[in-house]
Amino acid sequence: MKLKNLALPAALIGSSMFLLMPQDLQGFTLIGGSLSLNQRDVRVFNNFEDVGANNNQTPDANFPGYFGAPMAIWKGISEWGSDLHGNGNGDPHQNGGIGSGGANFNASWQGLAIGVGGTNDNIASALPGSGGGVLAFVETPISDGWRMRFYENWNWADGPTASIGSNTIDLQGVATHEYGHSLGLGHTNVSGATMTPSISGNGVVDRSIAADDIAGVQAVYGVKSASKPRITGLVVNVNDTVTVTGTNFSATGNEVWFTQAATGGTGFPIKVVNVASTGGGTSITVTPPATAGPGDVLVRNSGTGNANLSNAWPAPLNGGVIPGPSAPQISGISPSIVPAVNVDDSVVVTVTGTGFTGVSSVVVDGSALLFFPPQFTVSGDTQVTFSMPKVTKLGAINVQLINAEGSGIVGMSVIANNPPALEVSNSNPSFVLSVIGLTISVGASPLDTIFLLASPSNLPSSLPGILNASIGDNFTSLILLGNLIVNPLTGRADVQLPLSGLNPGFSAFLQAGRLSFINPTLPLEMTNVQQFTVLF
Amino acid sequence: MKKLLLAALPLALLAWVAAPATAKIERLSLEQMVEKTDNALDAEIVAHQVFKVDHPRDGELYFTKLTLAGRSLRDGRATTVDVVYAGGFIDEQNGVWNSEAPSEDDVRIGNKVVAFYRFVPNLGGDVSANALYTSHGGIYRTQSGPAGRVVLGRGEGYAIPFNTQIENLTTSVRTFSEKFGK
Repeated sequence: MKLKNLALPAALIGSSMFLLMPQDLQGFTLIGGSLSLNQRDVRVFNNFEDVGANNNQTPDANFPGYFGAPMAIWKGISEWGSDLHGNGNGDPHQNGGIGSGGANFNASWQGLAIGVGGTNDNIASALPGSGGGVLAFVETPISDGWRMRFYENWNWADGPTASIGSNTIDLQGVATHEYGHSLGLGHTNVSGATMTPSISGNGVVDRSIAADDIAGVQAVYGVKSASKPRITGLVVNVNDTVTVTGTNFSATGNEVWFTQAATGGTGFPIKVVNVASTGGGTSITVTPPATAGPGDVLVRNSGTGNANLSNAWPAPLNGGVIPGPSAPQISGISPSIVPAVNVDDSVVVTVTGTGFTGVSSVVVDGSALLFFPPQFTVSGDTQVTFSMPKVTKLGAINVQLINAEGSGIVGMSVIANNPPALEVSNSNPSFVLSVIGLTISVGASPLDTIFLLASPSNLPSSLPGILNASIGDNFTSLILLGNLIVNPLTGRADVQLPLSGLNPGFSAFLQAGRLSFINPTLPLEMTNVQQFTVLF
Repeated sequence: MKKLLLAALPLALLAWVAAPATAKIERLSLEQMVEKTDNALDAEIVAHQVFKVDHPRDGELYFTKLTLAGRSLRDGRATTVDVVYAGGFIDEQNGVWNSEAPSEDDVRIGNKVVAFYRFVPNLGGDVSANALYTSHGGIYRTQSGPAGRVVLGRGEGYAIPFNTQIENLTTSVRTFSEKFGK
């Protein structure tokens, strides 16, 4: 038989065999994209509630300064590094083996975050609830960053032993898998690979990436280049400088990347730039910035590609101790003078300072704002905001921020509303329950007389020289609900108005006129208008 | 034999292309999947909607809701149900891919699928819904062929690892359902 007669059937059979081959012969898959050098940071928001997720409190020289869930996740991401992380120890499941990627890829450990972050903030955290059979996931696309979530319904274990107990899932193993997604890998059907979609046992075996995983990361970032900078040692000197030894450092123009010392931050590594090397590109000595702390050090030489960033090497700055959280130190509050009645939450108070991480309570004039639903917002380590609530007095009051380490106090002043102001709780338009009624506050000067008006119409009523109301439709539907006197202590006239008997959907407008106690002249000075609607 | 090979090729190709593209999910046999879920449908995807939740504790989260119309594999009853999984895009600018989510090809409107779901009180962001169980591992496309309709397996580690006749799958699901009193 001639060869060409064999070719077509052979090709058909060959391609059929390929298409019909068992799926477990399929290799790694890619989700598209890669992490640029600007996206190498990894932080953990440690909101894991399982005791087992944070009970590893044994220091590890290869992962200085961190414990529990953050250390387990750090180990997981380090497994994908180009070279051994330090001496590779830290995982009894693969002694001396952490750092197996062999690609032009290394992550930059940036410690702890103070929140779950956005979907591009490169933060790992727990997610309360259940994924319905899903253990964890990563949100992509990765080119602008990622976010990793671990569902809280599983019993997470932080190791470090390989025997993590029954009915628990290994955080390090699952983190290793998830970070594979973060760096651009999809799932594989190659048995034994970390990137298989479903978990095998408790996931400990996934701590160690397999040949198929390595082929995947190398496909995305390239096989580790011979010219790639490589750190082989680090010494923290007695004068607190750091000497990094290795190979392929540039003569000048190197960057040394450190882990941030504080909790929070932006994720961007703490960098010392334009650093020269000595010894023919084998040694760099720098003074770490005050903002750097224990974690990893990487060196980027004068190039900008994946192959220009070194492996990550443990750096026990500050003796490997992370500065602990501190009590809030308040440096300012704005506005520092606020009116007694805050119409429609228009007065938002901003407290600035440091050590606000973990603020769990904000106390204004002796009353704590609600944590949930949230009546205050903690934004990073330096800012807390809240809508000014009603307080018990005019004059000086205190605002207190409290975290686990202590509290900080700042003073502010409450003054009478001028012009007068009217506020209905949950207002404008306020849907109220008739059985609860309306809570109305009118802010004005002490002892002023308040005429509280209501009408279903927001067409005006005018009595020249006496009253110019925005409601009442030329007095055809204007009702005087009563006269009130402004409390001299609070600067408010508060009234609870029952609504029983009103039908659902009933809506009306409220406005007040003020007659000054000090200068009782007409016409009445009118407040703003508020609306309410009876829900049921 | 030639006919069989030609019929098998597109199915095999579809199975290969439909293999999961991208975290970790629970590893379940079909029996375990039936035990853990509320129902399994042989259905068509009739609607597809992505929604966003801005939660004070959990942050912004995107979810996809699929409306499935078909029949229960357990008792044959006609059923229309919404199932939800994490991830999805509202438009080109707003959304996320989720490493566990089914591929876009798997969840197109008009697709004929087998889906397993279970009610979950909090999928994150205090969203309660029928969760597509194990996300991409809970949905399997079906394809008609000369020998009947086939459910396309996803490979090792999934509840339906291999291509399976829908009738055979139905029988298995009913057997397991009766075993678990569902």
